[in-house]
Amino acid sequence: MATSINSTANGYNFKVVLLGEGCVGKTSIALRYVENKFNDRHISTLQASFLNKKLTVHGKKVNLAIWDTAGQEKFHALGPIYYRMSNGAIIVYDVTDYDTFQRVINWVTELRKMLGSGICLAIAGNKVDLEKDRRVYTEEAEEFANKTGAMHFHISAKLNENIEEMFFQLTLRMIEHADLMEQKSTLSRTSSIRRNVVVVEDEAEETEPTKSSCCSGSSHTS
Amino acid sequence: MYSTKTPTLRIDEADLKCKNGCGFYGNAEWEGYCSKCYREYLQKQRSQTECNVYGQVYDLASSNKNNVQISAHQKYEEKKVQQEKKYKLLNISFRKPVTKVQGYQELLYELTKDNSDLEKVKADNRDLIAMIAKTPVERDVRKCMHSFIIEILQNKDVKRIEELSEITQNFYQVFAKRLENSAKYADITPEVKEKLLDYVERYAMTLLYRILFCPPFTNDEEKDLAIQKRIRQLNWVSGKNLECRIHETSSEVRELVYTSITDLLNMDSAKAPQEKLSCVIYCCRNIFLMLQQSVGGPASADEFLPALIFIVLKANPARLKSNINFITRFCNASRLMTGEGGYYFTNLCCAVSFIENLTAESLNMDEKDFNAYMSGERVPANTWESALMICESLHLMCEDITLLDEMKAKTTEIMTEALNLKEKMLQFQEEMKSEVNTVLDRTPLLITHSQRLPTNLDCEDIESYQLPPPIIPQVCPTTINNSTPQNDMRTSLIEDCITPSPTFDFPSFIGDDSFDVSKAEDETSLISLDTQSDFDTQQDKSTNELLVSTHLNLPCSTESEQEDYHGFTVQGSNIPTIPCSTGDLSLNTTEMDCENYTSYFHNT
Repeated sequence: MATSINSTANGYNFKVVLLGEGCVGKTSIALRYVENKFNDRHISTLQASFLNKKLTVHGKKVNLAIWDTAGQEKFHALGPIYYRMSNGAIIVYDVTDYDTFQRVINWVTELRKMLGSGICLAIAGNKVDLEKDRRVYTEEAEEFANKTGAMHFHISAKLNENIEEMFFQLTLRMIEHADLMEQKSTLSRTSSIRRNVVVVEDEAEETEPTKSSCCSGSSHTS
Repeated sequence: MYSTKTPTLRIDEADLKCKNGCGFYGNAEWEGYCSKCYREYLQKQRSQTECNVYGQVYDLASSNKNNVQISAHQKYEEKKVQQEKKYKLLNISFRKPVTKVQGYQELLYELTKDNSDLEKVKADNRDLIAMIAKTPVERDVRKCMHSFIIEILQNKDVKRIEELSEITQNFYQVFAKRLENSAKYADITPEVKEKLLDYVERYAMTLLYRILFCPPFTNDEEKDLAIQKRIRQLNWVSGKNLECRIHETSSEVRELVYTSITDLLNMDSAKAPQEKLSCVIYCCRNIFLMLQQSVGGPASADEFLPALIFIVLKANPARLKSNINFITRFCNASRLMTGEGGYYFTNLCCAVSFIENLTAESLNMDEKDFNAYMSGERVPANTWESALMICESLHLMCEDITLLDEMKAKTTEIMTEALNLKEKMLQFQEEMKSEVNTVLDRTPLLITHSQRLPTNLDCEDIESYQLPPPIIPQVCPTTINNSTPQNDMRTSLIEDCITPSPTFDFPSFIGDDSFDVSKAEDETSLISLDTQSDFDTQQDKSTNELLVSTHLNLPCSTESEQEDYHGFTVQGSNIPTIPCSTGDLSLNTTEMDCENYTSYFHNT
């Protein structure tokens, strides 16, 4: 499905969404990563919500499209529109604010439910430069990340700590995932691209056969 | 598989099965049927309506036809009213039902004939067409495109829109693969390939626009009307409700608001999906420009989405849902999922979704207020934002009102500033006065200090005249001799002042060379003259008094002596009148001179 678009002969195209409560520093992270600037007046981009980053991993060109999302609680319901078809998600919380971590838990649960393992997740505890005000404990965050199969990073957009590393690790994982999907799709060339797919249940295995029967029905008639 | 159900719902397997009971799974969009049964059902229905339509054509008196026509006409009218206000009405109306008899060839001919948009697409890509003209590439592109268009035309009445969309997406993918792998395209650069892909998409979609945009066999039109009505109901929503800051009084920002609204409205007139998408891109870029003015930096999604919602609410674009659906279905998916256009389009979808599901809570307001506004009971305060919806003149009026308000605020600001300035000036005057007074208080001290100097000077002069032997050696002693007791006092004072005179006690000068001494004497006399030149009138008075008293007390002195003395005093009293104005400075110089004297003294 998505992978057929994402990996071309000369590289990969990945879509990464930034999720998390407002004011946790999603935009700062993206700007730090792409422009290496923080709260700077000389930021060259007009906007900080859609950024492209090109990098080369293992000799292959990777283009990351980083999508910032509106973090306000009232826009939470719009999440599915944002993360649809994305290869990776970085869910950001503020280490000094426990409520933001609560939202991370919600996001990750929702993402896993909606997209299953089709998306690579990275949980990022931002603002570690304010270590003294920490409210979210490392053990708890890491345990949660392990449980949900997500990576966990402690970062600071202000001090440029670990941000490069986080994106790099996420990219590696996405490449791995894309290659795996490519193999799968070549093995069983199922129905073409499946757009607008919304998985109804989180038990992907259960719904899978029903879908295939449905699809075969439609392809049969067409 | 095209389920739009929310994932939270748990439905029984039985509920998911086809209504016909064929054993396959059904779908809400297929009215509970499975794909196969739904198609049968649809065909049955369509043949029915077609019968009706033909009934209209052949039997004008048919009541059935009247019903259909009236309802259709009403619908059309309603739509017309909405659109003509803002946008040129596009000639979509109702497609003539295409008979099965009419072959796709005729239809294709009809679509191609006199299609100005198609000509425009061709003209825009003139270079590209010229480049590939009369090459195997052109033939192949033509062949691919033709077979695709024919496929769509053949299937348009048989298949659902989603399937048509899938055919289109498949075509894009297959064509892209072909561009990459086929030997025919081997000697074409990637940029040209990209352009070719774009051109094919643009051309095919422009050609098929009438068929694929808002087709009557979908409920797009109803959705359009629903969202249009919804947005109209929400015309009272202001930027403040959405928590987006739009600097409405800045003319630049306002201009950007208008441009972004126009860009969004333009989406409906564009034909090809990528053209529609670029309208969205222009709109969003302008929003970002606008936000930059208000935020003062690159805006993030937190600020962007509310602003976009605001623009969508104020623009109320024609056939919004149809346009969005058209883009999602027929725009090259790879373009839509990545890239700037994809991001903005996603945000537009978010904005529409937000508007559809908007509640009092999402606007941070009271349920009661919200309902009052929604029902039209309460009309919002006439702000510029709400006026964006109403009408041009009212809109201008509101603009002027806000401008006047701003001007008023500025005037009051100026007034307070002026008052502040006035106060400050008064204060300054007071300060100046007190300063002057303190200076004046300080000056008497200096006056007594400098009072010595005239005597000093005189004595010195007397001394200096005394020392060079020939001139007036006798003046001083005669004065002293002939002085009254009162005068004696003065002279004693004078003598006191003389003692610190630098010239008097200089053994080195005297001892070394008399000529040098006289020279030095001349210098000192000059200095003393300088100091005298800086005297205050008060000081002059005292000198004059002194001089007069001495003068009066010297009746018996010789004429020459008196003359000489007098002459000198004249000189002495005449000079001070010149630089009188710089009193303070001159006092300083006298002080400095005094200091110089003493330091000179100490050094030796």
